[in-house]
Amino acid sequence: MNMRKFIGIFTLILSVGFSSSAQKTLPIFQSMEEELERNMLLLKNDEGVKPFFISYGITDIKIMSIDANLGSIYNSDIDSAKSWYSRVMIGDYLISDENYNDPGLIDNFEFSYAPLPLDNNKDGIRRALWKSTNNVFQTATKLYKSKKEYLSENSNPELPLTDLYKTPILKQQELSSNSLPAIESKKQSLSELSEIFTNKPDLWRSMITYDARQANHYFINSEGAKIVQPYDFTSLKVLCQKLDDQGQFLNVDLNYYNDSTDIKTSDETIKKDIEIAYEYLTEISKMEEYDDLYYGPVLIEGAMVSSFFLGQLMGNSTSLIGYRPEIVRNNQTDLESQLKELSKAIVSETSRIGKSDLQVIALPKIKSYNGDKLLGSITIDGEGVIPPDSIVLVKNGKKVAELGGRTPTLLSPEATGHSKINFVGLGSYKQITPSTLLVKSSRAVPQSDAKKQLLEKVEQLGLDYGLMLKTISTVGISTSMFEGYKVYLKDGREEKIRLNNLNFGQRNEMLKLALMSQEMQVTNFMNGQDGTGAPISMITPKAILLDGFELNNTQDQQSRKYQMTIPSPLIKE
Amino acid sequence: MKKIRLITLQIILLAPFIANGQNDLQKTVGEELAREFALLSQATPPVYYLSYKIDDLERTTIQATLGSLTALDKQPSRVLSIDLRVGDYALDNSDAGMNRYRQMIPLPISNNPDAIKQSLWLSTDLMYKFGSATYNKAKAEKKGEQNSFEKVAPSTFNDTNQSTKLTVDLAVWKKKVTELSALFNDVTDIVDASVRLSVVENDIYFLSSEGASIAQNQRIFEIQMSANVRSADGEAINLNKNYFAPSIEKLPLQEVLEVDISIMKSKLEELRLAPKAEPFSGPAIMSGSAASVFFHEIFGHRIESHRLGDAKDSQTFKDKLGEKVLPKFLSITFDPTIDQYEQYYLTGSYTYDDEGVKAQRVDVVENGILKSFLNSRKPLDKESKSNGHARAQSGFGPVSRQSNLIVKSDKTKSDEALKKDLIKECKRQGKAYGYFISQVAGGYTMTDRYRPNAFSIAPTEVYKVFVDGSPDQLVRGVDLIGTPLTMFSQILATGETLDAFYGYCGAESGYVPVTALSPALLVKKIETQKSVENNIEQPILADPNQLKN
Repeated sequence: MNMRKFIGIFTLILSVGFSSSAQKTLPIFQSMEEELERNMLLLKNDEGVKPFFISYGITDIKIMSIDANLGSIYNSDIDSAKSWYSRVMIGDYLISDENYNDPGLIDNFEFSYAPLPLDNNKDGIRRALWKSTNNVFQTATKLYKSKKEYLSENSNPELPLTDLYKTPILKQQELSSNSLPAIESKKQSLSELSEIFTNKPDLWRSMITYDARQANHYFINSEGAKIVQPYDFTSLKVLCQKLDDQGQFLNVDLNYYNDSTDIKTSDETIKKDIEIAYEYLTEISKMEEYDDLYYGPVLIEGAMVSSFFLGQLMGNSTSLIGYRPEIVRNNQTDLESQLKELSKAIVSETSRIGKSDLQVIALPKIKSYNGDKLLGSITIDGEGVIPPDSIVLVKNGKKVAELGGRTPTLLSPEATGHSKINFVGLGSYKQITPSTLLVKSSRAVPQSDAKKQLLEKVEQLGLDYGLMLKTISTVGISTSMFEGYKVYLKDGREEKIRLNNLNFGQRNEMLKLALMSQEMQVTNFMNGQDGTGAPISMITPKAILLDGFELNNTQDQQSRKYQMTIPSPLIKE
Repeated sequence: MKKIRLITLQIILLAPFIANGQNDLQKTVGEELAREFALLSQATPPVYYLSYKIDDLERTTIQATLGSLTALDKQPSRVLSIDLRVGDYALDNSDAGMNRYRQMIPLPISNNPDAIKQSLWLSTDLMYKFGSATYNKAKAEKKGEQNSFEKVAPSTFNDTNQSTKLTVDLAVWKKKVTELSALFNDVTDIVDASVRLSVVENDIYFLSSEGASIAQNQRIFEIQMSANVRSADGEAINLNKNYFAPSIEKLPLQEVLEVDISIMKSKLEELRLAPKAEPFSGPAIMSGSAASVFFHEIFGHRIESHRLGDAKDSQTFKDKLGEKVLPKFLSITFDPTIDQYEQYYLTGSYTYDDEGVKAQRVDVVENGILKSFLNSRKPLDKESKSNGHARAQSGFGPVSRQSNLIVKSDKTKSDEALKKDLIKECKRQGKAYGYFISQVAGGYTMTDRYRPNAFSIAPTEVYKVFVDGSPDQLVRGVDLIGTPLTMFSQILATGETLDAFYGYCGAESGYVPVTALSPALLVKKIETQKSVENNIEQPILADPNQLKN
């Protein structure tokens, strides 16, 4: 296939932030372009099958990791790598090798790994791309042939979804202008920061974990897209663990994020947060655990609200993450049934995931909200797609759209630009990930009314008290530090209690939302564990009232208990 | 479990763990060891032995693949290994099989006493929980009269050669390995080729509740060269070459490496075109390095005493002390006390083993007679004593392992005479050819009773030696297989000079560096089978780099 002709399919070429100084071709791009062009021109199998689409993504990553505790460095490292992927598609936008699986072919797939050079050695980069393109192509041709055969055996039915969305061609070059901090001075400052734990010998364990990343993601495809974007990010996590006299572990973690190569929060601020966490752990460890059964309303305030919505909107049946079912060539389900299911899902009425006042909107591009930074914002996703300014995902309680990339999904009628680059250590990968989600109610009330409404619910149910959970406010993000209260119906008195094992991960919890406050807050999370993945920003009400909250704090407590046999060496007698 | 309180016993017991010449790390660890032991020895059930081994490690790795840098890492770490024993020397928790497998526990890399002590405390407590939970199981399972652990007199040792860690010139070595790896670029159908510098600089500290305080160091400098080509029939063919040295200055010069790469490239080209061999049974010569692997795998692993004490093991030599197990012209010694033998640097050397016992030379076979096993402090029987061969990778519990294996022979012949004898033996057996096994990549052996008690060695360079005087023919795709006792009875003679095989031996206690030295062997009958095929499809487009060549 002639490359020039192929690119000519698209007439709209966007050029964003393409500065004159960046116009000279970077060494990584040069290798990517040369190998992409060669493969698009020459790659074909014995039957003359050629790829119709190739894309390459290379992430050039440098990370600094430091662990510190008690004024000491546990681990420090600077490491770098290039991670990459190749996407090679056979067929066309309507029917390609993707979104299809033939279990009978799994033994014939080509796998091999060629490391990308740490230096920008042009030949080394080309070699890795050559090998992976060849292997992906070999696998894709087998899948495509099988898929066409399978469709042909079933009279070539019309498929309800195409296999790849067409998107405008984009060119942008913006390289990271940051560098990692000097490791010795960073070790020194983290070591000094961690000295705060030396006068807290009753903590069972503590640790400060710092990970700074300087990264650029290079992307090109055979349509003509050519993009490089910085992915600098730093996370600092403070872990405090206490073992109470009953042998119960109490954990608090404080998380600080910044989309640059260092944390902006001052040491003094972090220290203040640590003192708050320590006081919290000390207080709660002395309290008896709430051991009653409870079923009734619960008023939740602070970052826990954001965490609740994130859990609900990312997981289970209420997820806003687009899902594309594969056609599977097997004996269990015939093609007709598979397509019927797929079509049914597409044309069926959109599903209700909340009450009629619930609204959820993705706001991918905005950088801040009421002065708070939105770390989840993106301008271009990992597939070179610019997301729209906003996407209404949930309207009046019904899911009307979902987040996706260029692979068509059931509720995503076009590429929504949310195939974000996620990170784990020195590795990166594409994954459909929210950017910024705004969650609000069309019937929001002032937060000051929330307690009153809690008590009204309590009265309706004939209870003596309702539960209230207040996230303790710190600069570092923490959803594990909260105060539980019984709020008595008779006089509105708040009695502090110790609650563990809270679980808001049940399905369809949003249907229990009885109130959302008008006052809004911003919380930034990471998609994965321990600062991995990609940042997600949540703009949510500061307070919510949930009906039908069930708490059983009596379950299986014994098995998690631990007693130290001898006292800590840090406790001087 | 009974919780006990800090008592004054700590002060009394502290003294034995603090020795002259200890550095700050040793002092801190010694103090916490004393405190922990004083308290845990009073607990129910009691701890009777506690040791801490700390690997204060700096690893440097620089690797280049076909002319581009693909790995660069230099990282300090400290790893703690704990041996905590509940019960007494006669019977402890290790008899429940829980003492071998432990965790790699990270310690702070700076000498902050509070941080180090807290890490020791948390890990020791966890080990005590495991130990006390398994102690009862051990009591119920106890068989035989031998003790669980041998009591030894504690040693104090501070390596006078304790040196500061080297700063590897990263820029220089990046350039070196990159240039060297680029030399493989013009090899036809090259799949992969890399050159790697690995530096391990480890200061090892061992302290025990018996009063041992040992500080020794381990320095291993290694260059690995590895290349894969695709044969005409699509099989991946691999060649490796490794160099070990006690210092970076003693690694081969760039010019030497360049010559060796040139030889490797020629050999790869020959192997790429070499025919595949069919299964064979008949006479063979194993080169010194191939014979070294042979003895390490087939003999060495069968005299590690912990294995012989395991009822699931086939215990090939357990009851053969004093009996003839090898031809009478062969003797085998394991010697961790030397780091040089003839011209060879030895990597399986240490001053004290990982249970705090002084390393000892062990003559395991004298004139074909089995004299001893390689022992740790886990007694095989009532009489056995440790001979300083308990070894472990950081984070693993030590068991008896090999050190430096040296094979000596009283029946030596020149290479030429050995080849003549090979042809003579072929003729006697009516074979058109015998084999010369020149180089091997490694091997493995199975010593348990559930599978055939066999071994497999993976040669990388094998020649057919024809009886009719035709030139030797390089073949590929061969694995040497067999069973130990049959193979030992087939050894006819040896060569005159030793050759070495270096490697990291992997077993129950992780990977440990070992060296084996042996002369070439003439063997009456070996058996080979086809090796596992590792086929790589020819890519559709040519290697972009070879387009330029």
